[in-house]
Formats: sequence, structure tokens, C-alpha cells
Amino acid sequence: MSVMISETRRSMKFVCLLSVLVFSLAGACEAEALSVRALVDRNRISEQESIELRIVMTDGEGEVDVSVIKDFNVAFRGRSSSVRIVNTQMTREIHLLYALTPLRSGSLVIPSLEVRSGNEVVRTESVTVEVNRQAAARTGGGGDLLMLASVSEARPWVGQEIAYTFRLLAGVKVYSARYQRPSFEGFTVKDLDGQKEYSTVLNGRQYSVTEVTYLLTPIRANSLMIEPGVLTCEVADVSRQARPRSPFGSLFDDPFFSGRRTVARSVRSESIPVTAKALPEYKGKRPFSGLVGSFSLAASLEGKEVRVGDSVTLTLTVEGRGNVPDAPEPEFRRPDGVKIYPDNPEESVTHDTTGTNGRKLFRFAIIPVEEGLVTLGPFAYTVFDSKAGEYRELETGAVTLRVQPPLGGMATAVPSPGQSAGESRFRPKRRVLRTGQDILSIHRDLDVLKRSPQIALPFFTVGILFPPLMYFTFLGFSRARQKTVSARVQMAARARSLLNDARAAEKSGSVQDATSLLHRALVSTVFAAAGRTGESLTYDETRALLKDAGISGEETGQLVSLLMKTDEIRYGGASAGADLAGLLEETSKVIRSTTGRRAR
Amino acid sequence: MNLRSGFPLASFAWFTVALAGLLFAWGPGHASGSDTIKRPDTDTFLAGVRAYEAGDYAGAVEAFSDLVARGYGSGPLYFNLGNSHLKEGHLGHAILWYERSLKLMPGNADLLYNLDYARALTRDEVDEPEVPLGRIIFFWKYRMSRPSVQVVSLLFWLAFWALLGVKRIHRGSLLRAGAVLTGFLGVLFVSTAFYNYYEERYSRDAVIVGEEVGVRAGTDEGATELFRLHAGTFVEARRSEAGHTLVSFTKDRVGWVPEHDVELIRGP
Repeated sequence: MSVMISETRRSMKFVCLLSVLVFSLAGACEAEALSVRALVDRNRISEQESIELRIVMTDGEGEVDVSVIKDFNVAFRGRSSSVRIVNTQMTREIHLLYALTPLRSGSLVIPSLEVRSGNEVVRTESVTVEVNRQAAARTGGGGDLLMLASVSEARPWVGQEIAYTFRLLAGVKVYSARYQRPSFEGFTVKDLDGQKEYSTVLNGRQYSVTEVTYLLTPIRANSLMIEPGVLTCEVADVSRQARPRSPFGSLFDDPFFSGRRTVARSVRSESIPVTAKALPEYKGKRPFSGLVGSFSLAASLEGKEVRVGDSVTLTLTVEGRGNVPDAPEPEFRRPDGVKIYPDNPEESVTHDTTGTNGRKLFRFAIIPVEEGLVTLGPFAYTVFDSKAGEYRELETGAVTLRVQPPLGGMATAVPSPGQSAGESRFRPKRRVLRTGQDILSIHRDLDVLKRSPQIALPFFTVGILFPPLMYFTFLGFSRARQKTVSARVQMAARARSLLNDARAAEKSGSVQDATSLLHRALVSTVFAAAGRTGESLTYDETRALLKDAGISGEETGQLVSLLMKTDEIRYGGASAGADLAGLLEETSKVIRSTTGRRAR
Repeated sequence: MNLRSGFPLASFAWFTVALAGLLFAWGPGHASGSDTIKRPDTDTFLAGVRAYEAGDYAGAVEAFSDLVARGYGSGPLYFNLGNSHLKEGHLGHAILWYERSLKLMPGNADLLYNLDYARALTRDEVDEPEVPLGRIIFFWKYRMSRPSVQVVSLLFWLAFWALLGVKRIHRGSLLRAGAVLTGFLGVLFVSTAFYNYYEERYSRDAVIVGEEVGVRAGTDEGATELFRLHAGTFVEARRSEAGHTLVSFTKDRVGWVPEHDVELIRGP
């Protein structure tokens, strides 16, 4: 009975466990509807601070439309997911993080956000955030991060470069910083390479400063507003810092490695108003060059004398601070009696916080076609001086060129013996100027119609496979042949050795030993001829082997006859005397003829 | 009967070279067909040259294109076609034919000059300039024409196997060094040659030939225009469907253009 109760209890336990498992799985598999929540970390901030908006999606995932948030600048910060099992109920949550920076002060609203998952649409609740003009005191140091922006000139002329500089002052360590610069609407923008980093003390506190500068040029006269730049980053959460600074330097100081708790922060700079002034009306005679800034103009001629047909280089240099690269080709009077070919202009400019500085060279190849005096220029340029706020005429004087008659029949520059230095026909080397722009002409001969001799892929493949194939084929043949040759050489050497032993035995009077050795020498000779190895043979086997090896019938008969004679002496008990000596001689001849000279 | 142990590898090298010579003589001929130039074709060519010299660039384009359609293909012919297109104002087609010519005569100075000139006329700025590291490491691929690579690779390959054969009879460090060197160069050039065959057949490099082409998000006319490309710009043509080709200018500039506005450099 007790056994029955025990078994029943065991069965009950099993059923209970199974039920829990089944219900758990059922709970896990149950399809729940998507629900969303919008959470902010603070509802009251200053205008310079930002808040973290967290969209939590439970039991599903959808696309969040944040474009309806108008009062804040929105920056996506990341996504995370988590799974929770509570009371056999599994819940999956997706978190989307956004950093929101207010665009104004007041009571700002994050409107209800639409989250779309397939055909299903759900909405979050709206959230109100109070934004104060004054910086709010905040645990952890509201003044830890400051972002300052400034312009070098608040009332520039249209076309005048100004420098926009933003400085990030960080009193704490900053990680994963991302800077979103203003759109600079109404300006052309030039990024200055690199950023400055230094330290400064403000109100008794030390800050590390990162400074980035852009060169801005107003496009048209208007009152412009440079929007705030926004920086999002992570800073160490002083209040939740878990452990001391890592001894392994900056790599492990990264929050990813150190496990340090950080908080997302966002700061923004002030908006900066800029008034771009229109250039005053230009009433000059010459056309305005479009240059705004501070410039100079210079003209130089490579030489003062030149012969007809030779070229000399005229260089006009526009140099200064401002939009130098925009400088057009200076206009000047082109006299008769010369041909003038402009070369490509050459620029050399640098950009720094004061603007664009440098020069632009315009070179012209001047080729006189008749002798006499040629006057080039004067050269003039109208620019706008942004400091003085007026147009200026840049002028250089005219340059004069004396054109000599051409050298008749004196093409060579090598001076004749005795020629004085003044008569030297060596001429100074000059820069070769481009006098035209065109492509090189077509090919005219009929070889053009010859096809390029490409090897088709199948033939190329055969060509690649052929040499290794040949190599390995020959290698196989040679190895097989080497094997046969080895047997021949081995058995021939053995035959000669046995013959020598037989001679020694005959001299010592041991007939039995001599005939036995002689027999083995003959057998070895037969094997050598056949290219095989072995120890003994019958007469029939001997004939068959020699026939297969292509040995003539006469030679075969001779070998078999010698074998028979040795056997007769060995087993017949005949007196060997003179017969053995003759037999040795005869065997020696047969071995020589059969195994050849090489085998000797 | 002779037991002389002669080894045939000595003659192997000569035999290999002789047969390879035959293959060379036979292969290229079979690859490109007969080199006989027919009279009407020479007339067409000369008509094209005359048209070019007379400033009738459309006529030159027509004549040279006609020759290409008849199966003629050489670097200089493609060069002439590129010149004619450029003079006619077809920048995209000019760069296309210069690029095709470049595959057959990569070191030609005239071609490089004209190609640079044509490239300077293109309007689209490439965001990420091409990193020339590959061109530096595999310089021979970009300095040698495809036929040259094929011939050189076969020669090195043959020399390597011939030296291996000779090395079996005559042992020497010089032979060994020669075999190692020719083997290395052989493998390098054979790989390059096979890569060239692959590229010739499967490369998706293409050139925009339309003057200004709107790149759209889809193949229908109402699809959003994502950006615009101009003649002569290089793209990767990924695939074609419904009369349009999906092109990639950079990683983040991808979209569909009408099929007739883009052409593969390797040809259709």
C-alpha cells in the first residue's frame, strides 16, 4: 500500500512539473499586443542642458516617428533590448534612446509619438518639460561641460570670410563625443583641418578645451542666425562611480573596458546673429574682380629683350587675404605685334583662423611677331577692401619689351671658337608654357585594324597544363626505366663478381666450388640480360627469359650449353682439369658480350 | 643488347619549348580569328580618318563604330573611337572607349594623356578618392596589357618546368635558384592572367554615358530621384531589370538609371 502511495506521489510530482513547463511555454508563446511608453530622465532643465528620452516597446518592435518633436533637437543615442520572465510570463522590451536638446525656453512638449509595427499603430503619452533660461543646479556639476561659440566678425560684408569658432570646455572626462555643427545656412563653409586642444582655468576651475574653427563666407546681404551647435557625449557618473581609476591607462579608461558607469550628456552653444552687409554700389570704369579682402597686384616679365618668334613669360601675381582662389584673369591691353597665350593659373593658398591667405599666379607666353618696342599693361584690378569698406584699384605700371630681329640661320646655340661672352648664343632656360588645350590626334595607319593578339582562355589553360603534364609523364617513364636498368646493372655486377670467385676457386683446386660459382655467374648473366633479379633457373626458364629479352638464338644456345656443362662437372663427377679452365674462359666471353661494356 | 641507362628529361626541355612554340603560333590565331583585313573595312577605316580630319566627328564615330561592330578590336581603334566621341561632345562614350583601349594598351602615353584630359571634363567629384595601394602592389597588372601578361606568364611557367626537368639531371644551386624564381614569377603572372580573364568576363565597372542622369530609388518614372550623375562618371553596375540598371557610385549612393545611360567597360 505504501509503495502504491509513493508511486502515486511520484506521478503527481511529475504531472505538476510537466504542467508548469507547459504553462511556461504557453505563456512564453502567447502573442501579446505591442505597447509603448515614453520616459524622460528629467522634466526640468536649463536651456543649456539636454534630457534623455527613452521609448520602451514591450512585446514587439516598431518604427518610431520622432519628426513630430519640434521644440527639441533630437539625436539618436542607441538601442538595447532585454527579456524578463516574471511569474512564468516572458516579456521582451526594446529601448530606443534619444538625446533631446531644447531649442527654446518655456514649457516644451514632447508630443505623442506614433509607433508603427506592420499594420498596428500605437502611441506614447505626451511629455511636458520645463526649460529655464538660467542654468539649473544639478548634482554632478552642471558646469562640467560648457560649449562656447564665437565669430570673428559679427557684421561682415558679403563675400568676406569670417571665422566661426566653437570651444568645448570639459571639466570632466568625456567619452564618445559627437558634434553636430550648425547648418550655417546663408554661408559657404570651409572646414579648417585639425582641432586645437589646450587647458584653461575659468572661475578657478581647470577645463580641457577643444577648439574647432570653420571659415564662413556670407552669400548674400541678410540678417543671418547661426544655429547652436550640439554636442552629445557620455561623462562619468560621479555619483555612481563603482571603482577607482584603472591603472592600465587610457585604453581601459574607456567605459567599454572599465565598466565605469556613465551618463549621456548633451550641450549646445548659443545662437549667434550675423548681419551680412551688402557691398556698396560700384561705380568704377573697370569691372569689379569679385575679390573681397586685402590684396596686392604685381606684374613681372621674364626678360626685357627677346627675339622675334621667341617667347617670354609675363607673370601677374594677385596676393593677399580673402577669396584669392576666386581671382579672375586680370584684363590688360594686348598690343599689336605679339601673340599672347595664357597658361593655367597656379594657386598657393593656406587657410587659418584669419581666413584664406595666399596668391594666384597668371602666366602668359608672349611671342613677338615683329621687332621694336612692345608695351604690356598697365595692369589693374578692382577689389573690395573689407577693412576700409570701399573699392580699391590695384594698379601696376606697364612693362616694356624690346624685340630684336630673329637670328638668321643661327639655330645652334653652340658658340663658335673665339666667340666672346657677349656674343654667346646660349640662352637662359625658360618655363614651357601651355599655349593651347586639345587631345592628341587619332591613329591613321591600317595597323589599327589588326586585332590585339589575345590568347583564348581554353588555349591558355592548355598552355598552362601542358608543361607539368609533360614533366610528370616523362618522370613516370624514366622512373620505370630506371628500375629495369638497376636490375640489369645489379645482376651483371654479380655475374662478374661470381666469375672472379670461380677463377680463384679453380686456382685453389676446389672444382666443386668453382663450378658452383660458375653456374651462379651464368644464372646472374641471364637475369641481367632479362632486366630482372633472381637466384636460380631451369633450362626452359632460361630460354624463355632470354627470348623475352630479345637475345639471339645463338647466344641463348651458348648460355644454356655452358649451364649444362657446369652442371655435368658439378653433378657428373667428371675430372674437371682442362675443361674447367676452358669453361671459365668461355663463360667470361659470354658475360662480356651479354652484359656489355658498361656492365663490366 | 645495350644496358645504357639514358634518361629522357634532358630532351624534355627542348621538347616542351618546341611544343609550346607551336601552341603560341596556333593559339593567338585561333583566339582572335584571321588577321586578314578586307577591302571594305579598310575603306571604312580611311573614311573614318578622313571624316575626323574634316571635323565631321559624327561621321568618324559612325565609321569606327561600324568597324567594331564587324569584329575589329584593338587598342588604337578604341582610342580613335574615344577621340571621335570626345570631339563630338559625347564625354561619357569617350571615357568608355578610352577605358576599353586602356585594357589593351595600358602604358600608351597618347591614350593616358587624352584620358586625363577627358577625365578633367567630368563633373562629379568622387567622395572617396581611389586608394592606389592595389595599383602599387599589383603594378604589373596595370602596366602590362592583357596579351603581354598571357605571353609572359606562359614563358615563365614553361621555364619553371623546363628547369625542374634539367635539374633532375644536373644538380646545381644556380638551377635551383632559377627554378624558384621562375616558379614564383610563373605563379604570379599566371594568377594575373586568370584574373584578367575573370575580369574580362565578369567585371561590373561601368561608365555613365548619358549627359545628366537622374538616379532613382526604383525603376518606374515616379520613383524618387536620389541624386544625379553626369557623363563619364565611374559606377559599379550591379544588375539590370525592367530596362534599368542598379548602379553604385559610392557605398551610400546607389540607385537605378535607365539602361541606355550606363555602359559596362568590358562590353555587353
